[in-house]
Amino acid sequence: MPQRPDEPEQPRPPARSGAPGEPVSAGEPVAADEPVPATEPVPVEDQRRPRAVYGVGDEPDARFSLANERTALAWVRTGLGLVAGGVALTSLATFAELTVLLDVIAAVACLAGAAVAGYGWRTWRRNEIALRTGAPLPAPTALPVLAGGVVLMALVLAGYAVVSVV
Amino acid sequence: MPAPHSARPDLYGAQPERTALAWQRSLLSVQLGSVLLTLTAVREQAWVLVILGAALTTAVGWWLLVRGPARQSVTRPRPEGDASARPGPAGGLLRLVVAVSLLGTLGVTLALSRAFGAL
Repeated sequence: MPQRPDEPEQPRPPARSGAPGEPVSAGEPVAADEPVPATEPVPVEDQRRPRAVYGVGDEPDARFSLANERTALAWVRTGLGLVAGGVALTSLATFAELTVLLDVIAAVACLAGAAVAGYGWRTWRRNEIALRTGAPLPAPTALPVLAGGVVLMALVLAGYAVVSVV
Repeated sequence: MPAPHSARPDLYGAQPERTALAWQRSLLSVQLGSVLLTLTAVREQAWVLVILGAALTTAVGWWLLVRGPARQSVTRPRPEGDASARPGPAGGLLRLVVAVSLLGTLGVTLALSRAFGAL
């Protein structure tokens, strides 16, 4: 680093990787005329799993990683909503002694919920890899399927309600 | 005390508090779902499902109360020279997906058992 002209000439401390302004520890023998090689930061081995994600590319901005994490959690919660709806439907059918059709719909909802949760995990992996490698983010392919499934389930339940009343 | 979003100046806008709340919402939802399933299984006298549902409720409750606040550590100030990367969410996400899948499987078992009179 070039010395500023207004600073008095002083002996320089040895080059080190610590933070600026940090006191130099005593006991480091430094010869005045001997050039001290600059120490490079020791790379810390990344222990995180899965290696298929953390073993590629560079560390992205933490904001993007956290946003990706929240998106995956939103997918899991969506799946959980389907599972909870299915369990609630079974509960309703149990307490009100309704038909078997509701139990079948409940089973389908629970299965779909588990699948959506699994998709949340998959989409987190794909997005994190894309963030690390700088590739374009993959499209949310399950979104139209999920929307269609929810609409279909709503129509079936509405039809069941209409038939039950009439 | 500094707010979580301002603990590290290089992470402005990271919104770790929002992420921690998302985790809490997710865990709480799993717990509510498992409580609902357990109650329904009690009504149906499906004792295996009752035990599994209660175990899931307990495990998620422990996770929620003990492990949940650990997510805030993402942006805590670290000692100078600590270049370790922030902890990844993969393990927690995978456990959560397994919990939801388990809940879904129990729900399917309950629904189909009721539908076909196996209980």
